[in-house]
Amino acid sequence: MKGEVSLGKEFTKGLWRENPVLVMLLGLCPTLAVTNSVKNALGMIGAVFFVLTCSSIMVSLIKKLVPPQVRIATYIVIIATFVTMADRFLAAYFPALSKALGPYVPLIVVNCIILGRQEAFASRHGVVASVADAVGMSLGFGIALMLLSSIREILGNGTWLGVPIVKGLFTPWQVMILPAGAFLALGVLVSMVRYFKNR
Amino acid sequence: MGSVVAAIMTMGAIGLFFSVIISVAYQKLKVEVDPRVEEILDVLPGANCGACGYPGCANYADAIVKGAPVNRCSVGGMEVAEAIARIMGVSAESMVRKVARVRCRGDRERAVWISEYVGIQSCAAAHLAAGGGKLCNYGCLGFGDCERACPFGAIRVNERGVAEVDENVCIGCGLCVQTCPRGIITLEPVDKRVLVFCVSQDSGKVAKKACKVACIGCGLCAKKSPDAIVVENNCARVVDADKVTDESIEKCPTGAIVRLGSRN
Amino acid sequence: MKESFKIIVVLTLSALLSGAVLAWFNQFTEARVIENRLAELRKSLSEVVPGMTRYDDLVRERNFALYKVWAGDSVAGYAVEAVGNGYQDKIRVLFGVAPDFSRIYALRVLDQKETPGLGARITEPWYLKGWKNRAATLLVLVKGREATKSNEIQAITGATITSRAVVSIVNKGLARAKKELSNILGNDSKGEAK
Repeated sequence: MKGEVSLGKEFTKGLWRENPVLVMLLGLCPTLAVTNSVKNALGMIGAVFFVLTCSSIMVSLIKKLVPPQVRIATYIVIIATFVTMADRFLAAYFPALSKALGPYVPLIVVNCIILGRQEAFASRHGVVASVADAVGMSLGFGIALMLLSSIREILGNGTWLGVPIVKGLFTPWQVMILPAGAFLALGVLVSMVRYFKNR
Repeated sequence: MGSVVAAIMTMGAIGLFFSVIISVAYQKLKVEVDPRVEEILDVLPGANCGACGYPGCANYADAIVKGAPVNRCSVGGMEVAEAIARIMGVSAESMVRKVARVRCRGDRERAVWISEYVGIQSCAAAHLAAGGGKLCNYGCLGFGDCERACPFGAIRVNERGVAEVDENVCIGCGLCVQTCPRGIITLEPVDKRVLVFCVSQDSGKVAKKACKVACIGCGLCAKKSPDAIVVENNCARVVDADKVTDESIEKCPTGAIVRLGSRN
Repeated sequence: MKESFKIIVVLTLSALLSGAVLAWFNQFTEARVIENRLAELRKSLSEVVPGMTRYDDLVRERNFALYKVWAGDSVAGYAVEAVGNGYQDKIRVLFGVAPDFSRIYALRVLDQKETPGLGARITEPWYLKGWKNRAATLLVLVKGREATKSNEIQAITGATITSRAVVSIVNKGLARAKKELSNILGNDSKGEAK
């Protein structure tokens, strides 16, 4: 059943067909919380990309050594290690971003996209395929976050990446950068994706 | 330097503590798992779609070992069914294959239409809106929700406005059964060749008014084949197709009971 | 038994390795993290007390801090960090006071989670300008008009609760700072203030 899987397919499935956020609805906590500005979203995307890729490499390397009883415990230790590294790195070199993201960087440990990919993919495939899968999934996560944060920042604040772009066109809808706006935007986005997928 | 040692010691101590707990727990709480479950789980696609009727692939794998049919995975299709059959040591062919049957033949001419439904073109929507245009509440609405639900193109609405299953393509996944808002699609063994193609529970008078080919629950067929057909809730049901006599089929005043042609 | 052994070895080893990697990584970042924090504090302090060259910690608690700010060899003033409840969450502010506690130099908001577009406007320059050179007595909030007296602070339209919260945080912080300072002066007979 498994057979040979093409790397391209493993890579592209995360972008659209199995997009972790818009299709599988995983990792919604950071998705909703940090998309009030494109800058925050970029920080989160970078952190998730780093953690997911590094964890996938590690897990696919040691998959044969880990007994099944401590599989999850070991994976969590690996993920937590990379998350702490990402968190410290941001605090040291991007203090403002680190402050804006607040607890959501440490919370990547429990982002189910990460553990989900380790369980479903990296623990069953080789390093190269796992990297393709991880990079694809991170990019899919990135696409979703960029879409969501762009919508929210433009509508809610009239800016994109801090640059004013809708001067005078309309009064920004404050609600879009509030938590309620996250749910509204995500709902519309997911329903649109479903519409196009089902056509 | 002290903090480095402290960090390593702390993590090591935590790791040691919990790994001891886990290994003790593993010894004490060991559950004998049928190794076939793991094997089957490996074969299943892992989509956890639920089309098999179980919450996820793991549950289905569990159920197979306990005797559930091997061909329920609609995502994996025959390929997976055969692989599972090999693990279980049965042949997929020897399992009685089930196929979906649309239990309604009330097409445009035969059924009575009381209104024209012009809303959203889906059975689910029409069913909600006062039950669509048919007088019969058990009739196929013909908007093709089942057709869209079927991943294999085995069911489609024919030119007479009633859904029909191609039994050679159908793998019996049951997705259409769940989709049909009328509940008129059932899974039947493919070799059950005599079926009552109506599930109307209306009284004979009402059913007859609504559709020319309705089962009116008269019981004539059951009288002729007492062991093979039962009448419940104004509707006949075939329990043993092999024992149904031709006479009871001919006796049906509406022609709701049908013997299907032999399989090709 | 062999299996248990493997479980223990694998999990313990990965935890040990994790600790080692993190300790190693921390050496590269820790200095910078502390540096960032100090730099941020220095920047804020220099914004609320003009001419700052260095500062001393007098009191440092979770929800209150008092800094003595020097300009060269003379005391340029004091800076007070105070925390209180805003509309949504805690608001943390820092403000500079003249050495004789006659007036407030300026105010900065260090931390807030108020409603964007309403309460969150306490971080905007035009609001902070309203805090420049206020009398360091009991401050009062005025609504619907410009502040005229030296102890008046203009409220933000639509964010009365936040505006009131900031004023009350400053008032409480000011009172606490005066008390702390008189304690220090009382203990130290020579006196620190000129």
